[in-house]
Amino acid sequence: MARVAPQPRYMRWAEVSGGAKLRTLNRGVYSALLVLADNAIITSRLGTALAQVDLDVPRSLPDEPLFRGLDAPAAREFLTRMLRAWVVLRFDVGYTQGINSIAAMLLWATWSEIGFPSSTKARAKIEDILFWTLVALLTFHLEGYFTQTMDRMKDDAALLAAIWASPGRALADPGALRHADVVLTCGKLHAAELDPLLVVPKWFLTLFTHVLPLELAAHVWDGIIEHGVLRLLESSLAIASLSLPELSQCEPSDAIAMASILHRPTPFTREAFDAAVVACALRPDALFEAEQALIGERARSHLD
Amino acid sequence: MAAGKVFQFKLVLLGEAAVGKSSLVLRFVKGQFQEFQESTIGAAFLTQSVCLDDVTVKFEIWDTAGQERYNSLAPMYYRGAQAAIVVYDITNADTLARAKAWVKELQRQASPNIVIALAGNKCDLASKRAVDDEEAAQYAEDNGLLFLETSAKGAINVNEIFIAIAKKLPKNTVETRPAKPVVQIDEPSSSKKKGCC
Ligand SMILES: Nc1nc2c(ncn2[C@@H]2O[C@H](COP(=O)(O)OP(=O)(O)OP(=O)(O)O)[C@@H](O)[C@H]2O)c(=O)[nH]1
Ligand SMILES: [Mg+2]
Repeated sequence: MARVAPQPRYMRWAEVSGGAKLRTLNRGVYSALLVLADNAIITSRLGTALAQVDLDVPRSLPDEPLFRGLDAPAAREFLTRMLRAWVVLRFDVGYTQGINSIAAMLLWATWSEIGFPSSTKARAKIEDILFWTLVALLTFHLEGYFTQTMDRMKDDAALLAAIWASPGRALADPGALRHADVVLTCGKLHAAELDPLLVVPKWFLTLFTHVLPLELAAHVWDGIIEHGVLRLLESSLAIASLSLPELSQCEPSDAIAMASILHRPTPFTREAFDAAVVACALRPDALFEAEQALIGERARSHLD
Repeated sequence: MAAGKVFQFKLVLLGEAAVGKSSLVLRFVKGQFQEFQESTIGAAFLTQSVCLDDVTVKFEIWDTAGQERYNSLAPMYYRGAQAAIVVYDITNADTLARAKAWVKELQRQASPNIVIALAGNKCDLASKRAVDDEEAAQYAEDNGLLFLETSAKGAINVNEIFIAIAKKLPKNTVETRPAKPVVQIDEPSSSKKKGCC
């Protein structure tokens, strides 16, 4: 029997994230959004966000050959259109720095597998698919992270702090091969009193594209897109645990040195990541408990 | 020159997005410039030292994100900072207004003795100037700020602004370390001995 060619990653992401579904439900909407983005009334209302998009497009993954080489001008226009359409579609959320890198990553992953689409028709189709994948990611997976107040990110930071404080309660599989490393890592970060908010923005709001080599980041995305947002926390624990040797060389109280390491971890292999993330599987009920505690805390702080 | 005492200070950079905060840090720390600099998400941490006559001043630099919606994270970044560089872009008058708002916030909320410098960056783009340097200088003087126009691209006044801050910082305590960045109020801060840089 003939072997079926593996589906390109961008198609898989589109399907698993819900982007492909959104696309079929919204035929023609993307081009309509682009027309709207040029409308004077719209630009007068969304001007700040659209101007920030224009400033940021050349600053998105600027070291990647895709954005430096011959395709760079076309790639930047591609990215500009996706971001402008996003701003018009979700004017309630708007544009938050980080979204540009996520959109750029979608384009990068496509380009790295099939090259930059050469015909206008192919380009338009891929752009439509990637746009709705972006919408699906930001809506189904990352809703709440990119808002004005970024509450969801702050809540996740508090959850991570709780996990670092008592990993034993949060981790699902104490028998996992790398369990001990994960527990040790959590202990170190907790002992240094590292505030997760010093690392979580860079990790979550760029979906690791500012943190890992893109090939590795794409592998982490595979897991997040497939398993959902819990995998975001699990991946961050895994990445931290793979930096244990470097973290161990810091002075135990030097939270800033540790944060710097976590911003740019020493690269590791996919296999190492896969082994680590298994050990980082979280007990959903433990998270629920931690969340309840958070809600209680917030209620109390409102009462004060 | 005999290496004297080492003093460590926390320095935070604040200012509107894309005014050149990270570029100033990159120039100061690595002597480099990038035409397209990735926007900073959250904050980035770097260190660099300045040698004055008989002392070494080591900066722990907190380079922050400029986009407005990241502002709610800012208090965490400037907490305990002994120095700040507030940056605007001389080709964009709105960025000076934002810088003035940062200065106000620092004067109200940050450590009382914080040394603040105002940097009018991108001064290599003189033909696109939108902010009068004398007006900015007057504002800085009225508010007790150090002031320099800088260019990360042209390496103009970048080291100078850090040196000016280093000179102005009080060096009366024994080798100091910045207050812990994490919320932790009750514990007495230990003034640890630090080796030479
Ligand atoms: N001409 C000129 N361009 C500069 C100078 N400094 C920075 N730039 C450019 O301005 C853009 C933004 O610089 P960044 O250093 O990233 O600005 P930032 O303030 O850190 O921005 P955020 O991280 O988004 O808050 C980059 O593309 C730089 O190349 C300068 O002195 N002269
Ligand atoms: Mg920056």
